[in-house]
Amino acid sequence: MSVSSPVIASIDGEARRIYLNCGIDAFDWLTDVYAEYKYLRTTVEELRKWYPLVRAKGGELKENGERRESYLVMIDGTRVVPCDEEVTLTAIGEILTDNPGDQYPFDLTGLITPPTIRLVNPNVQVRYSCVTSVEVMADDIEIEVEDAPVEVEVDDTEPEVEITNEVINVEVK
Amino acid sequence: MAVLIDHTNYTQYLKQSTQGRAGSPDGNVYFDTATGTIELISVEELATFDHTSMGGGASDPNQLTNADGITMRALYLFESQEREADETLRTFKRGTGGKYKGAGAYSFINGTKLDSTVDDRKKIRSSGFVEYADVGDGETAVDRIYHGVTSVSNVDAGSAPYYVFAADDAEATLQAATTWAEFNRSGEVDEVVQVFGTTANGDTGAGDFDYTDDLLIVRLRTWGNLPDEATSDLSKIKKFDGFKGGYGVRDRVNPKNTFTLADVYGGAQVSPWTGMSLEKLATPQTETGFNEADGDFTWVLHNTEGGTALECAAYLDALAMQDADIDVGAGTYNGWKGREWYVCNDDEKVQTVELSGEGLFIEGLSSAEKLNVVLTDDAGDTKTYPFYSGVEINVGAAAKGDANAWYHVYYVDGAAGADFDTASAVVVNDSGGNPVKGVCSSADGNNIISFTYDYDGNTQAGLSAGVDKDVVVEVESYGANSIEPKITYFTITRSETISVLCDPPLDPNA
Repeated sequence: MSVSSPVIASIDGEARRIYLNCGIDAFDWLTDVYAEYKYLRTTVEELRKWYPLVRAKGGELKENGERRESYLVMIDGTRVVPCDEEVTLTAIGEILTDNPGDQYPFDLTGLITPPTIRLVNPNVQVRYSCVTSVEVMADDIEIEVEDAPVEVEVDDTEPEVEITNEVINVEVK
Repeated sequence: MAVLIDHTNYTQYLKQSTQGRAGSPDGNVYFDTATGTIELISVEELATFDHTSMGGGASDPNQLTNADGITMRALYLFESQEREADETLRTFKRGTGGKYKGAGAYSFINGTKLDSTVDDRKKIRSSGFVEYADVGDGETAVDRIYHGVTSVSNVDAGSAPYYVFAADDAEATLQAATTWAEFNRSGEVDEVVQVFGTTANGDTGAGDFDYTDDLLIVRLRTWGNLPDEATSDLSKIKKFDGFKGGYGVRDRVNPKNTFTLADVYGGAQVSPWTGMSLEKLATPQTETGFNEADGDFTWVLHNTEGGTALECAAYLDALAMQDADIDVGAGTYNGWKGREWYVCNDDEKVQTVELSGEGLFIEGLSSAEKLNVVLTDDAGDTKTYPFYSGVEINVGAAAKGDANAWYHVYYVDGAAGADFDTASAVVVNDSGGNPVKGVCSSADGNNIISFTYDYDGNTQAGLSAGVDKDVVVEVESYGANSIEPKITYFTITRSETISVLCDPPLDPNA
């Protein structure tokens, strides 16, 4: 966790919004957001009045000694609001919401100069959807396109996926 | 088999002896015309005698026993029978008289006495009698009066009923009374007690006293049974004389006291009774926290080891049996002569008793046990505790072992929007008015966080008292190797124990 240099500026329990500090160019959903959220619920009793905003899932040990993939779930409409600054903000790790119809974890409404957001999942398997539902697998990549045709080139290298709030780009290197 | 010798069988079982007990008796009744005494020679002194003259065998057992005894009516009729057959006996004055056989009202006339060397008076059953001096007509000047006391309900064979004569039943009077005594025989009561005596006519052993206008109190205090008491007032006897009276004292099992006396009182006491003592305070102490107004109490039962209401009641039972000072305070109070400290009321609760303007308070009761008592203060007002629901939250071993883990309890649905998951959420307070929150490391050895809730009094969050309340408990933490956040909803009901499980595992993502 990054208490000494926190990424979370504040939490609005009523609006279910987690506000990020300015000057941040990257953060991890679990080691930053989740860890700081737990710390703040402990130290700021007022935050306990609210039903939990996020929940971490996965991470259990498998039989082979490896851990299952971990991800953060935003509960009951919780969203992250980045600082209103024109930067590229990289969010590392898997993130889901509990609303299948709205899986975008950020709330950029009201921002004048919203950052360019890169969602990076270092894990092999990544699932998320925004305008388009996308699944990228290491050995067997499948892409489901709802609104527009997408061309994808695939090789055996590790995939990396980038999505902005304006244009969907899927790059496989 | 020994029997009570009465008017129905005296002809079979009584035989005039030619010698007294000092010699070689050959029957069980000896008229000592030389001394004016009648001897009742029981089987304990004369095992058998020749019953052939009464239609029996030559060596039949003596049916007159110390335990079963003889009625005055039987003795009166036997004397009449013997005087009819024994002309020599006629040459002496009659020894017995009768006033009203149905009430067992008899007399010894002309200075006649029952032999006092073995106190044959103790063998008289179902009767009372007057002993007249041998002056004048032999039926006027009274030496002694014996009142027959008969229990009219069950008394256990092992019980030791006892009695007192007193001017009244005030606590101070009874504490000071010197006439307390056990009856001669255990079990059901059927014997005479002396209520009058004068030495004025030469009866040197009669004593000089007059209890005929006093109150007679007959008590039973037997371990494991309910205490009981009967009085001459209740028997409508306003003046004692030589008759018998029935007293409604009885033994009933106390189903609430199944303890062993040796555990409760005495040198082999065990916990929690080792932490109990009774004290009369020099100044009454004021107790609070009742449904009713505060109360002042002069007596207090200390209960330092958390005994239950029934364990406290058992201790009070034991104290009430002690013919000794039971007050650990500065004063002296005899338990045997003293009050019954409590009753079991209609709700089967232990209700302490006020007497002489002095009530009894019981200390050290748990929240749950407070619901099992009704305390009576010095003013005679009863005090009850509000119902406290007991809540036990099991936070699990992981949370207890997590130094940063915390718990917090909120109302789910308060009035006017004071709901959980809003800025107006209200923290639940325990019965002491303290918010239910804290660290999980304070859980007990079973990982339980417990608190009591004032079910009948708490109106937090705008909710009415005395109704079920939906609440939520959160258990969370932070840091490396911390627990997963967990949330559990439950309802506080009117229950002594509400068990809640909110036991998060270790967080694999922490």
